[in-house]
Amino acid sequence: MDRDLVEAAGRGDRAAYVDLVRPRIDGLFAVAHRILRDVDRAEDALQDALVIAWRDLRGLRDPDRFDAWLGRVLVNVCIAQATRERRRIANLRALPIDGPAAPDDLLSVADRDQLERGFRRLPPDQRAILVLHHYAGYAPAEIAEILGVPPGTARSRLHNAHRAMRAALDADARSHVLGGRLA
Amino acid sequence: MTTDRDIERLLDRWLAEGPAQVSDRVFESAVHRLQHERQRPAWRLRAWRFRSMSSWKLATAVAAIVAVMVGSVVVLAPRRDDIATPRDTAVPSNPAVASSPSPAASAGVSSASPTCNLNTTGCAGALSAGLHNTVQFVIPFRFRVPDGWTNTADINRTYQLESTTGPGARSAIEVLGMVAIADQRQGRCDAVAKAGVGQSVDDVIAYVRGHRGLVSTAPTPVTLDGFAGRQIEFSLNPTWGEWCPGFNPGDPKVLLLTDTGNPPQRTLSYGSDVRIRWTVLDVNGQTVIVEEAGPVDPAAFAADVAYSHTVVQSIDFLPGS
Repeated sequence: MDRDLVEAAGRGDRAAYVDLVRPRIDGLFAVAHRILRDVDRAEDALQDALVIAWRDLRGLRDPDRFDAWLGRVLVNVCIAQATRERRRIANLRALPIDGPAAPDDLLSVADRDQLERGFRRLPPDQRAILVLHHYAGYAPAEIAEILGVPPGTARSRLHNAHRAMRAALDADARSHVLGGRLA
Repeated sequence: MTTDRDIERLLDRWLAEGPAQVSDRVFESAVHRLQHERQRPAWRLRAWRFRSMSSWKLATAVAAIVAVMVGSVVVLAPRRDDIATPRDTAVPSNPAVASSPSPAASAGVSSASPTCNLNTTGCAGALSAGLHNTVQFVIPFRFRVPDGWTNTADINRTYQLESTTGPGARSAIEVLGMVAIADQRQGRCDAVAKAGVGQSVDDVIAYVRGHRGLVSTAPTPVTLDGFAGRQIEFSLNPTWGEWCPGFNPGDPKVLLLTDTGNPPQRTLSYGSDVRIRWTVLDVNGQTVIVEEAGPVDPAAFAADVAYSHTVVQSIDFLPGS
């Protein structure tokens, strides 16, 4: 029972904690990767989240809430890390993400490249919102609770993130048209 | 022109792509780090909580997040209609704050050694011995610490310090602003300010002193950095039986503070595992609480606070700066 593992881990049993988180790391990594867009940084975020969760596990009052709590830790770590790294990567050209891509006729290579560039320009909390909404499937009110912001703020951030992505794609499309004419 | 619907469709499909498995090496490395990381005492982890919700919503939300996480493991490219999603559910209380980190946080926190409070991304992490300034707290101040102190939160309503080494290895300091007395009604711990209770130094002290869920010392007049106030110590009354939703029943809580947002979002409650000293000050018309927390045992608390109080006494408020 996971509840038993959470309780044992909360008493300082490292082996129990390892058994507890081992089955969850792939899912956590997938969320981290989609926020951070980089395998190495997603791995770092995952490790940090696992260490923070271990360190602060005694603050978790209800063992049955471990998964929600761990997910929250991860999102916070990703936002913090993306914020720290944002300036460093801002001027780097976006590269295609690692890993297998789902075959999908509706997404061209150009689409993916544009999306990647637009996404990387977003503030980390907006990235997290888009991942929570479009990957994990949360509604704005739920995202608000996860991020600790008022629902209206979450809705406006989601709207702003969509708008920023749209602007990035439109600007990108215009630049390609201009580039083609100049060439 | 890309429409909103286009963007949403593209994001759905694009975010479904990407890796969903992490190498064993990463997990092994995390496990190695765990061997050198001690767990923090529970009383240190008492944190601001967000609006509570009913238990069925919590259960549904937990199940939903588990479903998302597990779904990510078994489905390489999950889509909204492929996995169990929590569109119609709520999420747990006490989520993380997504405030922007301070410049100090950017410079001071190493990814290999995370030290920030879970409820904020704004903090400076481990502090070197010497003088430090707050960055985001509502009333700026500076203070001096010896080696072994960590800033775990620096946001507009709270500034947290914890010691990690030395004779006061269990000491914690929290400076609180923009708070009001909260209303703990009928076992609820919602973020609702208590009607009829003011926010002045005297109001706050009188409320604590008169709270039947707390055992408190007689308040004493103090000054800190030239600002006048009153000091009081308290711990949970062993006869107190009320608790807050989201905490274990049988783990009594006294809800004391809520924030002054509109509407307020957060609450701060105190359990049976902590003893508190509040120095409540009037700093140019704003009530500021300097909180020193420690073990509930009075002797252990006195020893810890003797260490942390040197840091408190070094506080130099810089209102208007």
